[in-house]
Amino acid sequence: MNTDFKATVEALIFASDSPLSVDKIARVLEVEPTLVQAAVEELSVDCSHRGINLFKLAGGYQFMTSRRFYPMVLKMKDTDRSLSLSQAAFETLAIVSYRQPITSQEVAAMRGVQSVSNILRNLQALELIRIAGRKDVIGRPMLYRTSQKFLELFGLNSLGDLPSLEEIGVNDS
Amino acid sequence: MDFSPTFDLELQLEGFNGPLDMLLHLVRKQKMAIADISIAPITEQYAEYLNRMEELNLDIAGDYFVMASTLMLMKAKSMIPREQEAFEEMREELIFQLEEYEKVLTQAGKLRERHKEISRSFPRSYKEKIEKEDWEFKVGDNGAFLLVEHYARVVERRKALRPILIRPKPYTMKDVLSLLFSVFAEKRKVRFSALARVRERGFVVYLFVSMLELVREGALKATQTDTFSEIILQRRTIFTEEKQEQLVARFE
Repeated sequence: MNTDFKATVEALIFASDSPLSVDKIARVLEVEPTLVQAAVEELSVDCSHRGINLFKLAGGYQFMTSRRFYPMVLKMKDTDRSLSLSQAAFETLAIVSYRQPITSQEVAAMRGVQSVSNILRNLQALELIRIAGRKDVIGRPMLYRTSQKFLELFGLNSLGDLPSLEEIGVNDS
Repeated sequence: MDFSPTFDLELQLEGFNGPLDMLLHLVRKQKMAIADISIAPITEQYAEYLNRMEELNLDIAGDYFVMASTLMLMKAKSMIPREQEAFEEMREELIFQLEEYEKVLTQAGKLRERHKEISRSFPRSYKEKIEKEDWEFKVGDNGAFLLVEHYARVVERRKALRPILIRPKPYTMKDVLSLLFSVFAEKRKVRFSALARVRERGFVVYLFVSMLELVREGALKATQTDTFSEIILQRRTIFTEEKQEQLVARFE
């Protein structure tokens, strides 16, 4: 592989504020995505022992500090990156993420409560979920989906990466 | 349990996140499989829990009572032979609901773990929040929502940028000082409060500064018997017009 090409890809990923997709890099550099993919994979190996690693997130790649150095980085940053959500909010988010698109009513029914609209509104304000249209039933209720930011903040490349229940030893029939 | 000011909207009754959570807790306490749930004892225990919460004066969400009445209805049906079928149906429904809820709990836990894990890595902190990435305005089926979202953002931004109005004062230091001179041209002794009465704060500040200035120049004598008590202003000399103009000119 051309070292310069790899370095260019590295520079692009570094300069991006959010995970950068292979397709986008390919478009910018006017090359085949497969070339970029190969470069990205090499980069990932290259920096696996460094302070920054390459993460595959939300359909793209992003450089982030290695979790090995979390305590030190945290000490320097002084603020945690994690969201502080209540258990109710986590449950609501779990329902939306696993069963999207879903209406507010359906979420409430799964949690056995009358309404989750406040929680949904807050999750929306945090840009974790978004409105994705209306359901074609009486009342045309809004449908909710998780956002790109949700994938980023939960370390997922795509919704397909959500841990399945079988994987965690629950029989989902 | 996480408590955050923004998300503390749900009542956390003794740490329960809703009636299903409480019910599931009861089932687990009995070391029972969800599918083997027996309605009568669970109903009783559930009611007991609710009573205890009431005794503790906890604000109980209506959701808990809905579940209680559902359980009681089921219990009643279970004792009437011709309602057996309806009872079985409701029981199946409840079992399904509990099983689904249990899955949600597992999934929520999993999500929490994932989030905790990824939060141990930090991205580059420089964030340029210029919204131009892939700024092809694609309007699909949900174009209207996109529009509303952007409109909301514009409204928010406008709120943040709303200017602080600074009104020009209808008077200047010069005016206030001149006023003091004209008052003391006639009177020898005036209470500060009488001058400041009904005037707004800015005026009082100007007045106070003018007073200090005149005391310093020896035109007035200010006396006060106690901290925060009335300030009594007495004229010591009447300045010549020339001297007055000189002083006023300082505040041009």
